[in-house]
Amino acid sequence: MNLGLTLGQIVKSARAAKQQTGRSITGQVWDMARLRFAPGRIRPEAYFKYRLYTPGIPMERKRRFVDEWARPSFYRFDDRRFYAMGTDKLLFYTLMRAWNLPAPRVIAVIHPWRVFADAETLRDAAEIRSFFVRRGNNPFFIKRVDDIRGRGAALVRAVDPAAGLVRLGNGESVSLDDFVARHTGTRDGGFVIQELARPHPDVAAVIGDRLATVRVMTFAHEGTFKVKRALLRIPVGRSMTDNFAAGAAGNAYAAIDTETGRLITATRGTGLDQRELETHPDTGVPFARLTMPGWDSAIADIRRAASYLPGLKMAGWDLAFTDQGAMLIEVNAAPGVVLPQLYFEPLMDADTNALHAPEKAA
Amino acid sequence: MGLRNITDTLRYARAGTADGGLPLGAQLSEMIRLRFGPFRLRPQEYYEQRLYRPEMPFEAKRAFVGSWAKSTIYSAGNHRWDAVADDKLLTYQFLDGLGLLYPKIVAIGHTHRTYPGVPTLDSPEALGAWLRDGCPFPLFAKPSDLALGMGCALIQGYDRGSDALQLSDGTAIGIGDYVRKMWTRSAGPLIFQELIIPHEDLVRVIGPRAATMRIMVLLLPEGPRVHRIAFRIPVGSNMTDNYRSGKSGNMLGHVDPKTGEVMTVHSGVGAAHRTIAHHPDTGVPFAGWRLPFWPETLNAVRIAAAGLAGIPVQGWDVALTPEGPSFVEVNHRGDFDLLQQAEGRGVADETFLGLLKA
Repeated sequence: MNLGLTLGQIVKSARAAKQQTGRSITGQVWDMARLRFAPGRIRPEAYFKYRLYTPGIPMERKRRFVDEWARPSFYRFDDRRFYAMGTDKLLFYTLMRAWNLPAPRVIAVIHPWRVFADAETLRDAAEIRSFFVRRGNNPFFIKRVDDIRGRGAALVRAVDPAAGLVRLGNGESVSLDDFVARHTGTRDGGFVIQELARPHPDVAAVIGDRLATVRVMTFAHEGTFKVKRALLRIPVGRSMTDNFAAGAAGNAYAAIDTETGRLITATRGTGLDQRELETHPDTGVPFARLTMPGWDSAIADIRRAASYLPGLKMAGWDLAFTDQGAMLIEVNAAPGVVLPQLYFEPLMDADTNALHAPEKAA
Repeated sequence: MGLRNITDTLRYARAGTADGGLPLGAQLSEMIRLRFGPFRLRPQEYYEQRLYRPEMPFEAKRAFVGSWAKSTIYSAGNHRWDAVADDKLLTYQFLDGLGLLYPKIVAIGHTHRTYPGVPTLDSPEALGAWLRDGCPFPLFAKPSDLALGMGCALIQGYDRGSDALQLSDGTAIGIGDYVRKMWTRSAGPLIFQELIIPHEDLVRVIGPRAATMRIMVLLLPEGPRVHRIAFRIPVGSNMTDNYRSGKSGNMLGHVDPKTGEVMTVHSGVGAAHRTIAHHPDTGVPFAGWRLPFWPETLNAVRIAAAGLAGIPVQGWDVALTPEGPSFVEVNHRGDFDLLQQAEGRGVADETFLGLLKA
């Protein structure tokens, strides 16, 4: 049976949970047994990650949490014909052009034959190298067209052809030859290169000179639009991206008030290791000072974009607050379920139940 | 195979023989071989494509793809891209983002869908009010989720006295009747677009009507390749250029993908197939006619096809206007008969087969 943890890890976690909260081990085991067969299919790993051992949470509420491995089933109300909007960055940015919504400018595409309006197309190693060299001290961001977890993404601060080096945003340098070789395009992939978006001064003052995006989870169905969650992903240390990766990336995160854009609480770690952060680990600046600037108009932009993609009933929009204003970085179809549930708010609610209802009636 | 199918098969074979085709027995043998071959050609398709012609080698006939093989062929590709082709509103947004031309949308009718920069008529009452007082006639109306031109109308204007829309075929329909008919008919948005203005060279040859090409593009590992082109040529009072295997009365042209030259034009299928030398309305001959904006059209189609990177077999409907190629829609589940009838050649050549195997 898929538990997500070994029996030894479950026992150790249960003991630690009892020590933290007083919840009995028997009670936890009973919880886990019941939740494993609930609609959200909560495995012990998710039980601990979501801190469902915490006393005072009614079972009815626990049953509305969704485990990451139940994600495909949870999002079965989506029309998957729309999923390419989330998995192909070039398609998304093409639509953003049509919608006249702000996004970091695409300056080049690495691919044998794909193109993007007003951007260079780099078809082979020679063209890629030439582009990098011409950029010189102008920074840029490069990422795979089809990757959704930030793998293979890099912030390039400068290209030093004399030294044959590429200087990255995490302070490392790699050889130019290796960097070119790493980014040759293929039919199934390719890369998109964008102007570097710089954080809004209000955001940079708290988290440093790195882009941090807000994952805005939306519900959009038959003309109804709601913002379900807003979570700021906060890069920490040497991370060049703010990806959360269910906690594995080591970054921090924060709950954002969906009405005002104000940061409510910042956190690092999940489950038994979840700790509230008062200040950013690198800058030492208190998080309480932060309200995302231009929140209302950013949400209005997302509302408009969501209305054009009716097949995505619940989507995760990655919103960056930059010195040029709020920008949409990407949309995620069937977005990750872990981050939005880390503050005791389950994803299953009346809205998702209504979407699942027609199949129950059938 | 039921009795009716056997009867129909014999009927097609006899008609083929009467049209100078192979003897009955030889046709039946071929029909069976092709029906149970990889592309599942039906006897009706065998007949309509005139595969009974004795001068055509059997190997050439094996390249014809039947409608029953569509699901197998179109199962290739990444279906997470399908909405861009299936949802016409999304298709137009996609084309807009690529900087390609398409007939401008002026309004949509739907309870909750939206389109950038245009009003949504979100009830039958709103639709009626807009048609009466806000509509920039003439325009083209089409349901976004119906095929083969069904439900389409070219609306010339509105007569307040009779509260009726005037259609381009000379008929009229009351606003109430039109709204009742169109609002419930289609679950998808009703799209109102500006008319396609044909390029003056098309007007010279085929008259003042929009005519579209179906351009089949294959997404090969080395990039998009224009594979086949069928040119739909309206005749008489037809409001759309749909061919419908000749039943519409319109004609079909074969265009050389490299040069844009209209090589042949014909009407009818099977024994009714006729090569047409001049357009019946204008009398202008087709011989030697090269379509305008040809390099631009090929370039635009390649850009569009490359943008739809998850769909390996695409059929783009393109009109030629004074501003250049204008995209009407993309098909990714369509029949192949139009393209095969236009050229008299099956689409499943080595290039196509190579794509299916990839």
